Amino acid sequence: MADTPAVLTHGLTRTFGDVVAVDRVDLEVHTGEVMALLGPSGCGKTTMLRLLAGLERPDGGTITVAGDVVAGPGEWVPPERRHIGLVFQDYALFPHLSVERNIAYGLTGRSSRSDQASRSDQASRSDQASRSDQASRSDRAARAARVSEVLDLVGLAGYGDRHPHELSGGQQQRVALGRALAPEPAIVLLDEPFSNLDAAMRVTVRTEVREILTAAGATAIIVTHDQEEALSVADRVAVMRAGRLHQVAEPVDLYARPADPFVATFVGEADVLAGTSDGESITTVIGNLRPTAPLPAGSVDVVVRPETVKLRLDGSGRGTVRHATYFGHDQLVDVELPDLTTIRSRIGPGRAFEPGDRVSVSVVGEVLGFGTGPGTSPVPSTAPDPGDSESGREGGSD
Amino acid sequence: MLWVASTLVAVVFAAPLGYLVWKNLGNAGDYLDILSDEGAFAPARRSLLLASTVASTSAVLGTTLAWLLIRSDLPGRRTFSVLAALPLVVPSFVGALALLAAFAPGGLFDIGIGRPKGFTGAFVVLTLFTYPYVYLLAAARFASLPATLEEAARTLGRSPASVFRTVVLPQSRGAIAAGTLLVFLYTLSDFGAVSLLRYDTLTTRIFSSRLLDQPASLAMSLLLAVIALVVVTAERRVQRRRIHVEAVSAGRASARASLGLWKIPALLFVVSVVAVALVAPVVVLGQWVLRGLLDHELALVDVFQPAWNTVWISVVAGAVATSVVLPIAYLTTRYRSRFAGTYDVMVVSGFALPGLVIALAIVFWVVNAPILNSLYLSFPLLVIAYVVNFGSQALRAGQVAVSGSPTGSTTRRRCWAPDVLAESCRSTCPSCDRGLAAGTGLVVLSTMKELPATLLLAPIGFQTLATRIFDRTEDLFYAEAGLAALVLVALSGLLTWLLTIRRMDTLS
Repeated sequence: MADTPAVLTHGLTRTFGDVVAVDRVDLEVHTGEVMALLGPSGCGKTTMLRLLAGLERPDGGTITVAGDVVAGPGEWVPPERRHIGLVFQDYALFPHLSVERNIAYGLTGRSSRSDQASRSDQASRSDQASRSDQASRSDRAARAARVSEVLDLVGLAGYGDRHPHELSGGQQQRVALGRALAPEPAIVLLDEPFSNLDAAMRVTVRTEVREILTAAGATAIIVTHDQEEALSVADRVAVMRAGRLHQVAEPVDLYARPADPFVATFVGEADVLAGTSDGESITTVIGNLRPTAPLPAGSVDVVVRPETVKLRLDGSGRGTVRHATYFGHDQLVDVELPDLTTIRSRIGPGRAFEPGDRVSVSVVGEVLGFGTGPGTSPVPSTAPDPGDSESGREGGSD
Repeated sequence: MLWVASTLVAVVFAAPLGYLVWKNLGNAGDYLDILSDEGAFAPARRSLLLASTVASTSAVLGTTLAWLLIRSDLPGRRTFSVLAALPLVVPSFVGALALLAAFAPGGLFDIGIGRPKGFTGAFVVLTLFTYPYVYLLAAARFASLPATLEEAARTLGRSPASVFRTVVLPQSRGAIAAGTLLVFLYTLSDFGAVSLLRYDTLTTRIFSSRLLDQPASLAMSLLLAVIALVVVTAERRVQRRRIHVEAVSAGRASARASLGLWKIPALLFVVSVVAVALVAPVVVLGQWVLRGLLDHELALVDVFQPAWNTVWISVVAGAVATSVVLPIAYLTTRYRSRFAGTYDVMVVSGFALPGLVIALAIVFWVVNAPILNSLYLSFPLLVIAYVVNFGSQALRAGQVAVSGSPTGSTTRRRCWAPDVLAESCRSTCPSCDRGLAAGTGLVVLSTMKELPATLLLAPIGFQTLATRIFDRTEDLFYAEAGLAALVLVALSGLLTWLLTIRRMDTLS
């Protein structure tokens, strides 16, 4: 049982007219983990959530939830029988119901409690068994107990009688999360959960949500376009672009070993330089660089993170400072290279360079290189580019 | 200046109700005795019975149609969504005429059951021609419901039927209630249909006792006014609490439900409603008119004078109503004060008061006043009656036009009857001038279909289409009544299309 993934998709595809929103996606979400689905807007990540929840029908592929096929050729389980919680971007709280009744909404009308109990034991958390005992004795009492438990969980004890419009944005979101978690779903999906909050609240709420999910022992997928959000909240991050899944990895690995130039530039800041590999080292416009792993000979893309780029005032240097963006704790300096590409360097906060300064550019440590072949796009963009991911993966990971 | 004008206008609007209260206060001690002596409680019971059964049936019928046409995959729903609203242009007395003409000897359904009359006839006619009030409001609400609410409910384990019951219906309750209230008020104040179909309600009793027993007529008028005002006030109070708890969509429309095998019965249902409420009356009346023309018993010329009378008196009423309420529209939108608010209520109460009650109060007042009595049966007085009765529609449109920012005031009060009509016009007439034109149009439309006030106050020999239809039907001249009715339906249909129905395009 413990080995059964909470969610498994195979070749999942959904098209809208000519647009392939989700393109042959294979995704596995382990029970108990929080996964971020990261990608630029329009990359198909929300469609992915809606497919999982049963709000869209796939055009191809299968979806398995806790071992049961819920969508596939000849298979269709409607959303109400999938045991998947969904937290909408606009929260979608029922405005006519109190907080308490919003949370209790999913506790009635469930087809069978035993079914639910068998699912929730995967979460392997403390008092599941005793709770379902209670349920058989008195549904109503069990519901009330569960509601107050959830209210505690989301930190809204005492707010049960309020109506949604009487709560702040952050509180409304916690109600939405509590409502989705109350029936102990196999997995809870969160669609851009922090986008409706102002920047000041976002970090706090993000931490709260993560704590709530951990406390509930929930399996979750959080959809976001914000890489910082994804890296800080999730156990693993899945990166999507133009309907394709590019890479699934833990945050540290994703940053250190992106699978392709797109992931590298989308997750964290990075610049891409064209280069030529001789197998051992890469020749670029800023000199010879050492790759993290041996590359086949030929033309390659080199991903350089700004924090590894060092600049030195040098009248005969190859770079020209164009611009510096000052952040206080550090600054980003844009340097134009002879081939007119730009490379960025992250340096300390002191006054260092003026636009127009000539500098020499060097890179500390090893760089990521990706072989380029026909049909690949070295410069990341959000335009659909189906050939991109395969070739990137070959050159990148491991 | 503005204040003086507004005060004057508000006083005129409040005068009929004030007069009723004042006259009845004169014999306050005997008020209940007068009512019971006249046997007024039985007609009052019948009025309430009819209004509540028609209102609740319309609520179910209108909501069902709205759901089928807005939220399901019914074939032909675009066309039907417009057709289902159209019975609104058929005045209830025309509906009654069609029913009588259909079953009369020589009619299309001459099956020898005699003249249809009483509760059943009145119930059927009024339901068929008033359900669009519920339908239009429910359809608009269903279209604006956020999709995510229903989707959330589904992911929380509820079946589509359960979602409808626990989310869609509670979220649409305000719109459905507002529509139902309109139907209730319309039925309560209806005079034409119940009178032609011989169902003895408060309105027919008020009308018949006006000459012989003035105190009783006045007492029953006050009773009718009070019932209407109590219902309106109660509904308004409930409505106000509802503002916060209804979500409005920002984005995607909800998915349409798939009817599957139910498609066929659903389509049959929609088709039969449209057939009975829209096609049948036209066919029935057309048959009488055609036969009349072929037998040379009917001359088309006869309808010209009433048609022309109807048009000009309606246009005058519309123009006067708009210009008269403009100061109040300006005051209530630019200066929020308690007085302005009071004026607002005084004008709007005209909508809740049955036209018969307003007309009767004006008649008694004028006849009994020494100087004013020369006004009796004059055009100015008739126009005043129209304006008091329908001015609220112009007021709402005027307020929208003056405020320039329509959404604020109308969405907050969107469920109040005249608002609904005014707002539906606003969407087709975005600018200020056209907003006022829409208000005028609404008053013109209502005036064209007005019956009891015209019967009581029109100068001798002045016949509108409505009074002609009523007289001819009472005299069993179905061909002549039918011709006038077809002209009236065509006129008001044209005007309604220009004002309101075109908006249905945005719904589907």
